[in-house]
Amino acid sequence: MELTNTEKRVAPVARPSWPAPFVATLAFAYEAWFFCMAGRSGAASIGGMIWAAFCATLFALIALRGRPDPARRIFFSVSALAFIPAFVAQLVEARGRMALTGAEIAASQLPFCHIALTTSLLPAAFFRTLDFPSQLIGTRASFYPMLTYWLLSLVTVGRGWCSWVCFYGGIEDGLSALPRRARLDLGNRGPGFRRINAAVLAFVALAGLGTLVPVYCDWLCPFKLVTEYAEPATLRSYLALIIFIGLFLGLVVVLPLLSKRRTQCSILCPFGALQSLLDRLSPFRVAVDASACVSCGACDKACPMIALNAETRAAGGAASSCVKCGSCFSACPKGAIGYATRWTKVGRFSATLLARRLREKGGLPRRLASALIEAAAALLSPALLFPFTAMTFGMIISTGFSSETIARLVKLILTGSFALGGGR
Amino acid sequence: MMHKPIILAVGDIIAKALLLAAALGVPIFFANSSYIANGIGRLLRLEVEPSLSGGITLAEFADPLGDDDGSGKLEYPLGGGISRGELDIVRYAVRAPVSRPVWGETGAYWQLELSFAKAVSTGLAGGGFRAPAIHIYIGIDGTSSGSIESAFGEGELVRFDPKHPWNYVVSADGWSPKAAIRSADASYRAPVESDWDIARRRVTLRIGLAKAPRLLASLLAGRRTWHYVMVGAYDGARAGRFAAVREFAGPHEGGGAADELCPRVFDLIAPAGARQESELASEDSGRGELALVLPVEAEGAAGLKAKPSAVPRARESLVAEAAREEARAKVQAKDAREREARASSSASDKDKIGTFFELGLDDRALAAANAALARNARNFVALAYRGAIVARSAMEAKTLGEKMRLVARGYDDLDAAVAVAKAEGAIAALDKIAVFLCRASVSSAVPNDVFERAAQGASDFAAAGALAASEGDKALEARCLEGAALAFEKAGLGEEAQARWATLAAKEGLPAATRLELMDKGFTP
Amino acid sequence: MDALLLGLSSGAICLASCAPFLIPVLAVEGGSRRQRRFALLGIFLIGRLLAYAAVGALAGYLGALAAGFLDPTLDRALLRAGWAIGGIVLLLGGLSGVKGPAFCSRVAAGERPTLSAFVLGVAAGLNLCPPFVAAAGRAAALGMGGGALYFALFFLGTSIWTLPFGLVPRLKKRAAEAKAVARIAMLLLGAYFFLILGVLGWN
Repeated sequence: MELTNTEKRVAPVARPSWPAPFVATLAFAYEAWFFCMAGRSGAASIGGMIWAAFCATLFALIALRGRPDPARRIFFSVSALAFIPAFVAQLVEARGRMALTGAEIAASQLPFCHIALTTSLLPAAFFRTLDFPSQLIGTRASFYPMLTYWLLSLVTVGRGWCSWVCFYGGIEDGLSALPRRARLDLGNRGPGFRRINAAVLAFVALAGLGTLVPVYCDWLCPFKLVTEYAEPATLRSYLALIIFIGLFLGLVVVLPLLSKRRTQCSILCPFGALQSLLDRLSPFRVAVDASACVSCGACDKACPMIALNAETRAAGGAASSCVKCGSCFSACPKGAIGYATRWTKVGRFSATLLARRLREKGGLPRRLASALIEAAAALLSPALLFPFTAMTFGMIISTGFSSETIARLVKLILTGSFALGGGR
Repeated sequence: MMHKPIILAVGDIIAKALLLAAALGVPIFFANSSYIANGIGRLLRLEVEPSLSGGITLAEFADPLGDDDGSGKLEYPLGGGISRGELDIVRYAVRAPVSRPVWGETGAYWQLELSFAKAVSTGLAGGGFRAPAIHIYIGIDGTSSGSIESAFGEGELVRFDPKHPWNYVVSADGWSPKAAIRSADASYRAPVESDWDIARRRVTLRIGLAKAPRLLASLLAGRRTWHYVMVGAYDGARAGRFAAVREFAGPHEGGGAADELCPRVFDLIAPAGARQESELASEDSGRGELALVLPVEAEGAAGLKAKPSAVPRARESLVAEAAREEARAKVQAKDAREREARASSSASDKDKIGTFFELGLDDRALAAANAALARNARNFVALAYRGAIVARSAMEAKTLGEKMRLVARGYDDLDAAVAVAKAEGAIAALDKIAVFLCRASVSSAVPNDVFERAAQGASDFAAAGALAASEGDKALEARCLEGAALAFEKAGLGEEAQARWATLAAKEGLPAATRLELMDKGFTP
Repeated sequence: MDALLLGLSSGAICLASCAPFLIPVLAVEGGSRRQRRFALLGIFLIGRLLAYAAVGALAGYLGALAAGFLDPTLDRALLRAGWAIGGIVLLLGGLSGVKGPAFCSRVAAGERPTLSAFVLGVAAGLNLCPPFVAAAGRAAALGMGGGALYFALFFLGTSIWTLPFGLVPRLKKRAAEAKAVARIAMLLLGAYFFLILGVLGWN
């Protein structure tokens, strides 16, 4: 039996049919409640409740509309904003100030973030040592937990980390969406940016291996401005401070506002480059239905990572720098872009084909079977499963600091004090 | 002709099942993330790059808590705002010299660390003018030169072991707070980088090796060193900055001196087999002989081998003894029925609930606790037990969500009980102990990653232990010390744990199982 | 002989310190034939051996190695020199891919992978790691002939670890991409090594 033209080209952005979105939303709400409320009491549990409700609402929007925009961006930007007050407040409460102390380096008490993995993996493999003064285990921001989160991300979201999980990326994701139109056209720089990105990864990994210094953290991280930095006292620390501020203002604030692209994430971040390199391990991808595409180029302009161009579209997908954010889905006038599995071609919803055949044969049992198959296929569609996976990941990672920020804000409103003592 | 669509459909569903696995895998993974991270940790067994944190630890010494009284009788000076615990060393660590510091601009260095029992007040920041004065005399193995007298005239009023004369002395004080090193023949003097971390009650000293004399720099070759570590009360007017000690304490002197040659040392690190009290009481004022102090040995990096396991025979006999004790405890279980009967007819709520709880009869304990609370809502002992019972019932809960809910509910009761216990005025110490132990035992049992209660559990154990000590119950005090040490380890606070183990090791009459544990940790009980 | 074993056991350290110098050079040649890459590797190792021999002999002559440890000041000076030299070579290698004014094309015209590999080997060799110090100490104790043999075997032991780099399969499809990425990486590495580590000494 031959596939009809319509069946060959089933729009990837087809909204998952009822009741799949509701089932998924209920499942998401249940786990949001579980993870956001785990082990919390008092003010922190109010924060957890609000965050769980917030995430569940946004997920419902994604599931029902069949595409991530704009709910994902809201989630991502808000969680990045929520990270800053919680982290800074914790630092100030623990140390008395934001800046690093030599004692903390000596006591290996620095928080370990995922980007530091790029400098640490090779030395860890060669020397069985961690070249970063953080705890190996004990908090979420320590080495073994971060390592396991990273390994999990490789086989689930891949580079989707950069648009659903990373608590730094939300800043420029939000900023790049603010302007109405781009004043600076960086559209043809995609390949160049990817090369620089890969080179930064190579640099950071090799220099880290050769000198055992976490080079990225020492000189290149733009986010020290919102997390922590070394007290400026010597020429070296002043220079480092200038570089951080310059990179932050330039790549994270100004360029995204001017060009509507995520310039730090696509040019500098070595973790993003690593995720792109290993994205083949993720079962999800963004696919372009080449037969439906009319080459209008709207998706090229919409992509914050400059991951789409005529070449990639013709090959049926996006470049390796695609962060699976789904901004291109809404831009496409033909609905030709959507989430797909890595190993199947877009449009082969063969389960629905089987269901249709069964329905045509008639008879109650076959019709029931057909309905079940359709429901299963709808529930198991990448359009629903990827946002579920990615948003669960992002929600769990963000719940710690987001609930805390909300709790602190609540406390600020009620009592005028931002401090959060007692149980967390 | 259903074949092709069926094959396609099956292939499709398999692919999508993998997607589903990813989707469900994420929450399942995170629900078990602490076990997974621990597992990876056990598999990889990494360590933080030593030169970032000061170098490999060559030797670490844990000094018992509460021994900051010299020969046993010394009292702190009255003036200056210093209080007990601030001169109490709990840990001394010797690191391996680092020839190529990573992520730093200093040249080669050698790091020594001291931790105190109580937060050190440095200089005016602490509000007083008293501070610890630290002297570390270092003898380098294989040299014949050196001195066996104090570097500071009278100084600490001690003399050194002739078998291990010292070559360099590092002096630091919390007042300036600066530190310096000088050689025995006074030909070399240099400043030493000192970092006083108030929050962690730690002093870190970094001796520069790049421009040091050959003997000192030769430590980079991994030589063995001998250390005399002494702490006194800072007195800027005295030679060596160690305040004098007289018969009675005064604003500028310590008290409790037995004679005029009593060492001015409040705490020191004694080697295995020697005791601080006897060392610091060994002066002979009749013959004018100063007290003799002995050094501790820090094996050099060159000779560092794995810690020799405790003498096998000694360990075997301890294992046998521990097994006998366990058998005896089992035999006593048959009079559990007697205890149960006695408890049912007991009038005391605490006895009833406590006994049922210990015997594992949770539902009866819960009933008794609820009854007690119905009679008196502020019965905090009953409240604490109820909290512990509810938390313990989480072990039988089927779903993870229910487990977490039960533990959280248990903690609500426990926290309330502890709050009441701390607030009420005159309460029986035994009641308070029961409350603290209830919460501490729950905190030790639940995962720290989720609830982050291990550190609080340790302080609960410590509080219970202090109360037990005041009641004279040494066995309970030892059990509380052990619980605190284990809880600190769980919280990742290894230093605090070591201090508790050291204090436990200094106690007598410990059960064999505890002594075995101490031996395995490297303490000779 | 235990010289070989010492070399083999400390291979990881030597590999790690050679990697930043060696990998970019080999990556740039990613599209070439395997023989060429092994040849470059060989030249790199020769440079390293020369540096070891020269520095080792000098240090031995000055008696700086006798006590079983390397004088920290000398060690640091050599390290910085190694980084500075290696950094310059990497910078030049990276700049050779840049299309720009006349100066740059002159640099590009002067690009000689063989010479670069040799100098990078020398630069890597200036990094005297602790196993080297131990080996040199033992070699000195053995006198001229025995010492040289001991040292050669030690060197062989460490070099075996670098062989896998030549064995990486040839990239046919993405050779141009890899070359471009390698050049940018060389620029970054070169700048970092030369300026920050070598000249300024901020490690």
